[in-house]
Amino acid sequence: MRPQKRTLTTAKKILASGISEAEAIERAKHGDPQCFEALYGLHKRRVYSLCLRMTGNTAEAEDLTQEAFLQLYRKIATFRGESAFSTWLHRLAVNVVLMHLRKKGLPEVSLEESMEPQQEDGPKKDIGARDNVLAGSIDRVNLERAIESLPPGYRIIFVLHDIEGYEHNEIAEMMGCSIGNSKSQLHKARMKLRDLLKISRAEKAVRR
Amino acid sequence: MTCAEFQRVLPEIIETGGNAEQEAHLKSCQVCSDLVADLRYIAEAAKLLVPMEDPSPKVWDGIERALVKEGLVRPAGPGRRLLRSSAWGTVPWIRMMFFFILVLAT
Repeated sequence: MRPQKRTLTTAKKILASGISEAEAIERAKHGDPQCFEALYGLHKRRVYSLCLRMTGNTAEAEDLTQEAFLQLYRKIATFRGESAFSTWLHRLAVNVVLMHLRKKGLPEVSLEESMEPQQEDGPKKDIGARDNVLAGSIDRVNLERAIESLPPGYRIIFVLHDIEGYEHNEIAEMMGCSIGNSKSQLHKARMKLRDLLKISRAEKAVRR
Repeated sequence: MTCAEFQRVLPEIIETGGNAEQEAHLKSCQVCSDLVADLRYIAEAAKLLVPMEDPSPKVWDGIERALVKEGLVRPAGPGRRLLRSSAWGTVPWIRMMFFFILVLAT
């Protein structure tokens, strides 16, 4: 089993020896395995984090990361440089995850919209002081945990829009839904996160 | 405008802003104002989430195995890294051969 350190060392050595990422990409396009390995070292964390956040499952995320980089190796010759390489790779990884979810038969856009109890659709009537607002009280760990516990359809849209920065028209195209649907699902994801984070904050206060 | 009416359109307007009536409701309603503040705060906090974890080393091992199996690279020996497969390696040699043939022909 290849130690992690050697992969990082390989990536750093190639780039430290004066070869830029652009050069490494060109060489990888011509089949240079060392340069491909260097690109893996540079981009694996972001691709893996994307897969992990979208699936919520470590084993699936690792399989999908592997598949994304295999597709990268097969398709890198088609990279024209019209966008940044990281953007292009990122989009490839998103497509790998979405394809996987379609095969699993998971609703990419949550059907829970139609299954939620009616009262959740009513106006929020939080009554309380201003210190009920979340501002300043979210830490990264709690937010990550809350995202992990979102229903899959909500989680995917939230990850794509709020974390990865895709616009609704891009998400709609990727997911095969309408822009309005994308906005609606994102809103519901954020509302759910709001509830989860408030519960988490209340639990923490009780424990003190 | 009621809270129900405002919150019904909120998914559409939260990023772009609403019309005069909707903005007026937002300014005057503590509940909806707090709600919008929370949702925007969550969105901003999400932007700050940076990738924190690396995949385990077995992911790269799996990539190596798959590339070898597809014949795109040669298997690495002990202490050696992936090598270009012989199929990849002959291409530049073929080019050089043609070059020499051309040079000799002229």
